[in-house]
Amino acid sequence: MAVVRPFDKLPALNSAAVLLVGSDESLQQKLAEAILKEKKNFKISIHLATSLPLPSERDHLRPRIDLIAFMIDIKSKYSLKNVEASLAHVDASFFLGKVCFLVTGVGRVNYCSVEMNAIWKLGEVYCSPVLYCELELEGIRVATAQRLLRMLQICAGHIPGVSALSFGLLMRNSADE
Amino acid sequence: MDETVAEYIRRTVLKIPRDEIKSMLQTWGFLSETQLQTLNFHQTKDNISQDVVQLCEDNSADIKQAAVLDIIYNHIYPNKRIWSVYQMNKTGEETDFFDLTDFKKKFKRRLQSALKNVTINFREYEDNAIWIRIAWGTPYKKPNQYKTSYVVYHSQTPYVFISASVLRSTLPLLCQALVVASNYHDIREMELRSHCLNSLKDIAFKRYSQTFQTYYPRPLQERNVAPENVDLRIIQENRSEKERIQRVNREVFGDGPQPKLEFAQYKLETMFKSNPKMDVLDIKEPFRCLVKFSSPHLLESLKSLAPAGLADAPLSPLLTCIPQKARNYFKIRERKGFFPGSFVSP
Amino acid sequence: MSAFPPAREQQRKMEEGRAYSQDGVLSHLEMLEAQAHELALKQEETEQQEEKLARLKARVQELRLRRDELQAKVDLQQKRLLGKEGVVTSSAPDAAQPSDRAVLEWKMKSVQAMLQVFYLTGISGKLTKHGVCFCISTAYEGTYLDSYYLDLLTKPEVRIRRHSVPVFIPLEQLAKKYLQTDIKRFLSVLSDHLNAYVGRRYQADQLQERFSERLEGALQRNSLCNVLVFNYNTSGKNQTFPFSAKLLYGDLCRSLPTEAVVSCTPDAPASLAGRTAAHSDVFRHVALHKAFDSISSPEEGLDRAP
Repeated sequence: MAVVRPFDKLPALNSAAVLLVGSDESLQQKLAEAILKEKKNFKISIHLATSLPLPSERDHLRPRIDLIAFMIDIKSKYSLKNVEASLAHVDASFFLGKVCFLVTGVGRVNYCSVEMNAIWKLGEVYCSPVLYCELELEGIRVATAQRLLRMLQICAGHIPGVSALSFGLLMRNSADE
Repeated sequence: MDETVAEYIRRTVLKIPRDEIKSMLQTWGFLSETQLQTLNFHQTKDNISQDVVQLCEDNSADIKQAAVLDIIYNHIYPNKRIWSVYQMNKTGEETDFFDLTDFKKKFKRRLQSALKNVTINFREYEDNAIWIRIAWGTPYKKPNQYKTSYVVYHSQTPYVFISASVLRSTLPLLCQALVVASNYHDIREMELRSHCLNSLKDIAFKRYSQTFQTYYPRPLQERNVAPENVDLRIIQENRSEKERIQRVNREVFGDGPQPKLEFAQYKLETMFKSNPKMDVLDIKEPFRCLVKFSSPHLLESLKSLAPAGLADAPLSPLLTCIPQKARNYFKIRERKGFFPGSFVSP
Repeated sequence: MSAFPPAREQQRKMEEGRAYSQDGVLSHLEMLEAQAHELALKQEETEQQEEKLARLKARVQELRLRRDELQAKVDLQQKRLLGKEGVVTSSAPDAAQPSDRAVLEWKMKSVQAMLQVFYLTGISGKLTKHGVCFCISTAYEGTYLDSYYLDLLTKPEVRIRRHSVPVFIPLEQLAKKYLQTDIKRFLSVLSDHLNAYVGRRYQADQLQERFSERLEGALQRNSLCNVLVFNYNTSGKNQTFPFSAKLLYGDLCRSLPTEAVVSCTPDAPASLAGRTAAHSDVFRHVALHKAFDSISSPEEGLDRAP
């Protein structure tokens, strides 16, 4: 099955594409709508997938993916397993700053059914930032949308002087301290 | 009027929600319309019940009438009890005419020959259902009206819905009387229980929604389709997969609403299968465990698992066979052929 | 706001700013940021709306064009029909030859329609992954009633996988008798059973619906509707119900009773008592609600005569 690659297509002018991967579709949809509401000066396309690999019959329609956000719900073990399985279908060069993990449900730790350690390790192993949020809450959803949008801009190369890799390193350094 | 009867009527009235007291008393039909008009339904329920008892006193009610009121209440609120389905078998093939009076007579005779102190009441409803209320006593004690058994029987069907009394010892006697009265040979419990009597009926009588493949065009049903998101910037990558899930789900669960069950229980008595390298549990003893699913509406929640992305479609047949097998208590043993491989995914 | 002259406006803003700066610069900045964000959101929304509007307008245009095209086609066809009535040939040069694909689609449609029409015969089937799914549609006197389904497995032997046949229909016995040997027979007998049951139920329902004022209370029946017991009179006016009938349907494949016992209350006049035999005869030969039609009319005449 097809592996998602960051550089197999030419970028389109003034546009960026983000891929959200997660098993909870309603949350995905909400987040996507929140991202769309934000002000932005480029064309965005948001691709929603429950898991990877992506169906190959749509390969020719898909633009170059600039950022992949894996969504994990701490209330569902299945969502973590799903993400872990999907990671195998991502090209290694994506992990140079173009992947992030979005952990939702942080507001309800008492319903937590995954090991937080496992998530933290996931970020470590794949050299990618882990963002904690609660997508059910409107305010945090908006803030998360803004954050993702900013990262997307960097990953798509819209911010002069900052590359996805340097941004990733920056994030990692701050996290390590 | 007997003291206990008065108290029983009072307590039954107290159970009824205030705005339904009037209609229920009307259905009861024991108090005349003029008597009902004298009742003030705007006072506290305690006072209403006192007044009702007073009126019943005037009409000199006995336990028979009080029991009818209880049946009416239970018929409207069957969910207050837990119901269990029993299946009867017969060896012969003859389908006989079902005579209601005959059924009642046989049932009564059977119970009363074994137990003198017992109150039995029947009430027929339009859907060919017979409701039977039995209050049990002992040879030396009067029937206890608060620990009743309820039986709902549809004529000419092999299924009986029993809401047993807390007095467990009465159950065999009750089953015996049912078998005799309805001309069957034996009776067994089907391991299907719920609070919702109508759903149990739907399952037993196969009236729940099933999908069958036909060429016959079914009338189009209004489905609650979420308004398709029209924003072109959101792209669903797994659209075809989603459609597959929808299709599989519809095949398994059908279009209509699911019968309402509150729980499903699986008792596993299977061997523990571990990796042969780590010979941790090389025990020949079966590995006993009990898995219990509970939800206010179990089948409906199972139905929405896969579309919500919480489980893989199709679900394990162990979960989806509940209405078809007409049971929600299972015992899973080794070598029976179906060990739940990927039993629960979430 | 526009009423303020620019200078005063600026001054007001500065004052506002000063007021905020008392809480600190950062909170002021935060406030400004929030305002900017809100404004940006609004701007984005209006932009989106404009875009959407443009898209919808384009769509409308497109649909209009298509409508005009179709309208023109219809007009042309009508004109041609009027012009050369009867001579329906493909002489018109613009009548494009239908493509192979269109022909195929048309054929598929007609076959599908044929398959759908099969349900009118009462028994129709469709091959499934595991076997066959039969649909038995019931009807009584030209009225289509319920449909029942049978999902059969064909391998390794014919077996019923699922069905929606009511429990009181002796499906198991029928299956034991015919399913392995003669499936045609099995389906036809089952269909007879179902049709008869539905017919009996329909008659009883009709009786209750149309003649409720001439019945004492509700009909007493059982699930199979093969015993019906009711008290009735022959004209809806009196409140007494001198007749009582018990209809027994001995043949489960028929919707007419094999036995009809009509009796009369002992205190009824002899003229009525003499009618019981006639009533019983009518009940055995005519559908229940029609029987009521026929036994009532002469009776009413008699009642009025004296």
